[in-house]
Amino acid sequence: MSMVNQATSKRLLAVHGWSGVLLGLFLYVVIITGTVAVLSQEIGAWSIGGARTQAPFSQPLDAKIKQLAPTVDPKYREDVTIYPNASGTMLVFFHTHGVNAAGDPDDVGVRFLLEPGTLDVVARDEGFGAELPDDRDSALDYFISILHISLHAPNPVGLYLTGLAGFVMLFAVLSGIILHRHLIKDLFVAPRLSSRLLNKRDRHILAGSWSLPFGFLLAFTGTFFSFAGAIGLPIVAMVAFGGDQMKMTETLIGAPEKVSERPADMANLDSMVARSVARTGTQPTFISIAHWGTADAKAYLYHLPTGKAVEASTHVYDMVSGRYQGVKPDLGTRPSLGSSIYAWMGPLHFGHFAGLLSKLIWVSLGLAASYVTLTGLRLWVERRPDMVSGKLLGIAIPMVGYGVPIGLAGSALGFLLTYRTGGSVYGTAFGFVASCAFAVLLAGALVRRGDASAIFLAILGVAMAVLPMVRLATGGPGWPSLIDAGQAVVVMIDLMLLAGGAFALHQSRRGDSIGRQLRADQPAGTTVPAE
Amino acid sequence: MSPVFLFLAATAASLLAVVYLLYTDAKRARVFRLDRRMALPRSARAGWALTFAPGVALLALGELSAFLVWCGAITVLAWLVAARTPIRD
Repeated sequence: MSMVNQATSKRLLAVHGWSGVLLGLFLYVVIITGTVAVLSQEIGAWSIGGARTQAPFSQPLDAKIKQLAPTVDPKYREDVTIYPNASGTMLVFFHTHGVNAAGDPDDVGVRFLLEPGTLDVVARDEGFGAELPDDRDSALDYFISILHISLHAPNPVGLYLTGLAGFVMLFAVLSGIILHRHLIKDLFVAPRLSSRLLNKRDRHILAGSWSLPFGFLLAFTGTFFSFAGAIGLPIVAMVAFGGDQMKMTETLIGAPEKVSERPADMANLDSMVARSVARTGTQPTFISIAHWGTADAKAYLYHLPTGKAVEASTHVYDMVSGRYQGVKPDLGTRPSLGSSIYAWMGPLHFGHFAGLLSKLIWVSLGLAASYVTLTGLRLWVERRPDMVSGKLLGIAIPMVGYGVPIGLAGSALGFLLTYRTGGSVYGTAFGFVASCAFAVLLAGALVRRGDASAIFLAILGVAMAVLPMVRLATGGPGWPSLIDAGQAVVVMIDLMLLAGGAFALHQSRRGDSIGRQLRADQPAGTTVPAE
Repeated sequence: MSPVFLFLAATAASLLAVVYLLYTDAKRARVFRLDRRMALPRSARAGWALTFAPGVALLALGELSAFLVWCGAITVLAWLVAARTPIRD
């Protein structure tokens, strides 16, 4: 039974359809890039032929950091962040906080890049975070992640845009629930073959119905991440704290502790890492040390979820005595329901709470959500074959639907071809832009053909299948040596690309035969709707 | 038992229940004119209970991460199974 009357249902359907038409392709871009970004860490390892160390924090970091600390301006020792990039190179950033040339709050200090294994300094750069040279090893995974987070638009515009996409998805999910009167009854009805329109409708509704819970979850958490910092917190500050952001920060995170300027010797960081690894069963992914060299210095070791847990944890150590001080809540100064809910947001959105298994499931959920978006748009086109908007959208769907994945494959190609020359940051961006431009030109060239999905799919298939070969041809290690080095994840990405490429090529042949048959059946000049 | 084993067992059990629901679904049989007179006895409630039972068991065991992965896996797998056009009996 419907939740609303027929007139309201009709109006809601119109809003559901038009909001999808106006923002659906944009929403699709955010979803499909997010789907790929779930595997950004694995893609990063794949792009450079596997990390050169499996346990970057188990290297003797303590002696190296104690050696580097005296070489930087004392004001930069206020905070030290330590984390590995895709290749296992450690980035150690001694910094304080300031305002950069663009007028934005930013970290400023000295960043060292340490060679994996030897921990020799391979680069030393000084300045604001936004001005430091990009990390060429992580160029591909960083590019994909930022494409999903902010579409590479300047802040906060990019976050507003992706947050808007989240709202569109939330509205589509909720209106879909209200509109679909037989949600449970139709859960097992396969797409009917009696007509194209009915088939497309069934495809959209079936995929949408099964994707509803996770569609809502991903949209809600994604919107939260886009808007919490950019809009949510300023609004909370305004409403609850009379505009006093400092007071709000103190309430949410805790008042900054009084810091002693008294110099003190630092305890052994390696010992803290070893104890934290023993406590959690995993390597930390990030370490932050506050007030290095003073009596109040503390180390914060961030671990991804392990075992039965879903939320990540930050373990605190006193840097003077080396004593463990417990787990730091994400929000507030003591454990709370709000902090727990906040801690769940990341794992639920990124799907990294159970390692590769949960990531792969989240990728499939993202692909399902992408499929729902595209089938919804195709359904709208199918219902309006003679409208100009329907024809335009019929051209735009394959252009964007396959163009963005082709662009992502192009960015990987750009990375691989330029990595050895040191220009991978620009190569990655150029590869993406050039591939997207190619997709637009191709759509223009094929505009008279009607639906060009089969051709786009074939190009996407070739682009995906070619990437593992380009990786090998540009000096990447082969499968036996990768497996010997414990880098099976690179082999897995190779296999995923080959399988995805083969699937796309198979589908393109199938789609083309359908298209040819339909064109033969239809009078000349009739456009073949997107398949 | 490892979380991965629990996840695999729970997903397999739920998927079997989904296949039962699919096979005995009245609307699917009507739409595709399937003759299921000789098929399994139809009990949607039991089917749904069997589908969700492994998830409840994972929660009872406190296996939160396995539960979430199971939720994601079963929605995708159930969609893929349901989307297949049935073969006429």
